[in-house]
Amino acid sequence: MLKEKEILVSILDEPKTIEEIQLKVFLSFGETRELIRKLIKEKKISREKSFPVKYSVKKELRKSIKEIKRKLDWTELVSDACFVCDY
Amino acid sequence: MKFFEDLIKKLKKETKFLFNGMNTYELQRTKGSECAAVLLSEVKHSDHYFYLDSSIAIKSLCELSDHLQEMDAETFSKHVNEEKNDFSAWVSNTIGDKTLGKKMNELKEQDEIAKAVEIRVNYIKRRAQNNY
Repeated sequence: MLKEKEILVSILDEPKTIEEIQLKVFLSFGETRELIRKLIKEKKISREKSFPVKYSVKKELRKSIKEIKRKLDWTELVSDACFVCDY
Repeated sequence: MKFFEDLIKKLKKETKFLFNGMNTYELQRTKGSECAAVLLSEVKHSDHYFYLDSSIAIKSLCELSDHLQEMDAETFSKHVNEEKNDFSAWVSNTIGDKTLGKKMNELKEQDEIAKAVEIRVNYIKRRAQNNY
């Protein structure tokens, strides 16, 4: 489930090929392809008419995926601030 | 006279690090690794452990990270639902990592929370090992 969300987040801003998606979600090619098929079936993503084929988030879902993207942003968890002493 | 004495005391306090041979940046970085080690350490008192059930007591962030990955959905939903997030509260209030606790509170799915804790624990471990 988390990987599906990560796929949606990775293609939210810009359509991506399956190889580009695979690099973002750290899955094998086969696993990525399976998840993409599942997301197409669930009508969450669509194939762009481009070569090579790229995938993008359905327009009506973009707002909700933006919220997911915000939640799955781990930047503050790996910031350099000292989290106890507030330096 | 007291005014000057207080002023000198304040100046000494503010510039103490200069006379120890360390600059502010080095001092902050040293503090950082101490804080990281504190966050990784086990909770001292058994009253403050996180009890998943009568037999499993979680004593540290590392143990929480391990348990979150293996926990069954039923146990998870007892602690995280629409009304509460026990893990987030424990991390913020007992462990003391308010950044992680706040992030966990925004998340509701087990795999998301597990990933957040894993990322944080790995970062804290690197921080503690680097001995800034």
